[in-house]
Amino acid sequence: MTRRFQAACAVFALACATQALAQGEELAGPCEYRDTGARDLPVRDGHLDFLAESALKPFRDALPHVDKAETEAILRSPDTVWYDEASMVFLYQDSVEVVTGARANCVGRKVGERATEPAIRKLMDYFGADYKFKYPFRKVAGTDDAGNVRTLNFWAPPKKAGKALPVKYWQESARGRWHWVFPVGTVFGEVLFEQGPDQRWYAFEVRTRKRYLDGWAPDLFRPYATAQGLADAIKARRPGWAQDSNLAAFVRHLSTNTNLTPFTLFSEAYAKIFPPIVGALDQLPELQDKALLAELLTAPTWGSTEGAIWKAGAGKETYAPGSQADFGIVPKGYELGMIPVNEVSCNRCHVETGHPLRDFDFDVILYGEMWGEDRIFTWHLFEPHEYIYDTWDDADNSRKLNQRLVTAKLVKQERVGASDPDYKRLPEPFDPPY
Amino acid sequence: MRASAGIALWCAATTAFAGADPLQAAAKLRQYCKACHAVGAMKFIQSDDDRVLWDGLFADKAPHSGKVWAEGILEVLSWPSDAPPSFDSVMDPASNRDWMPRGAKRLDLAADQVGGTYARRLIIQAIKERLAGLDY
Repeated sequence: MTRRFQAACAVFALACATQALAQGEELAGPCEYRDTGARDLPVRDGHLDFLAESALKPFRDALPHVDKAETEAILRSPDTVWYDEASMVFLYQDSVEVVTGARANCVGRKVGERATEPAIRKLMDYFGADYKFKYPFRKVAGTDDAGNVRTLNFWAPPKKAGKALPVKYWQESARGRWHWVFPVGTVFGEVLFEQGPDQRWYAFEVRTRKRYLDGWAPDLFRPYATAQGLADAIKARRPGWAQDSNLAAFVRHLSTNTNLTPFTLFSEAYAKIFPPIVGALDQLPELQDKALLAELLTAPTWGSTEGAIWKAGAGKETYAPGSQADFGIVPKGYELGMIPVNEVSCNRCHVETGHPLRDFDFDVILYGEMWGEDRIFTWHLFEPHEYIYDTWDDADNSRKLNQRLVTAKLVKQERVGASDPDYKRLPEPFDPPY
Repeated sequence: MRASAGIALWCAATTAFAGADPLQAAAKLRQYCKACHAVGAMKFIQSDDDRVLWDGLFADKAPHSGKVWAEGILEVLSWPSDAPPSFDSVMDPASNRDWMPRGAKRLDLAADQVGGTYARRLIIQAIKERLAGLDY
């Protein structure tokens, strides 16, 4: 009996068991269906809501201004589609027979925890205790160790002759993986917020990815691109800064270039494709003047940090601030200082959307692919429903097209042609999924 | 009138052969290369000053090839034509060395013209002139 067949038998048994559980026994744990309420939200041509306006408002009110006209317009356009992890329900596909379907990201962990077979329990090597893919595919890059972070995602479909261009999707086989490609000009992004002691949300970063025919061009905006820029802003806003011991120490830290902390990002789970990143962080001390911090975060027009070094010295460099305070210019645990903003750097993770887990461990061959498609992790075209919280089969409509996207004319079933000027399937650095 | 025409002709000829402005070339290199080459181990943009950047290209060596940066830049910008090389194949598959810039910036550079001259050609010309001992 081959290992693959053994594994197939195991997963088939597991699928039956989990279906029985879903039908008769109460499921425990955090990986269960919750109605997002999105079904009843407005839909129109070229747009749909995933979040109610009341839920969006505290964040919309806190959106920064950026100095790139296109991004600034998207942040304020009524046509921009906003979503988050809960409303989209981040999920991955499982496209290997004998049981295929869509799985909420939490399912991999749930299956591993329930299993008695060692091979299936190995899923816990790839899905963490928080029921997400493990680093670096777990959260918005650089926020794995940050607690005070809320991410709001946005999607700006491009238009032609006033009409939004749809996402094209297709399947290679009836039960195989659903592929999709975003049209040229699509912009995805995320705004990262932290909560202040006044309970207000403050944006501290905006990231974007814009589709061109052969890839995605990234950008990232922050209020200050360099430590010295932040120091100068503090001096300008608090002329008496030198007399305030906390402010003086903060400015001194910013202006000192020999105080970077060595740091390494390392993924044990995905080490085969993600080698360690060795770098440094600038762990800013706590700024006690929270009113100043709020001013610093909200007042300026933010600029791009592409190619920017936050601080360099003593043979080290870092690309973003870090923080020792829960509420700072970034929140505590924020680690994007390890990752420069450029297309090559960002692609280290983003090319992995759809990567079959078989490549990481043969024993988990049957448990699907990395979440996302077309180098965007967070978006998918499936309807969130109870069947994606278990290992239900496609025969049960596990992968069910979200009809709200159809109504909005934002998806179209059509294989992408070789000479389509607006769509191109990007190469993947792995054998194609099924 | 004849004298004016002669002066105009002289000016045009002088302009045509006056060489590429190295500071303009440095600014273009900064624009298209800084995302990857102002950071990390492959850094050749060491300064906000275009003159310092430019001089560094001929003094500092790239870590892998051991050549001065200018020579390496010449190679990766010498596209087969003014059209941006396809992303479907790399410049030298054996060494996995690719044309530059990578990604969307390649398309932006291909479209960028300065006074009717492609910015890429301007950079190449300015580097060649400096390597030949001419730096206008």
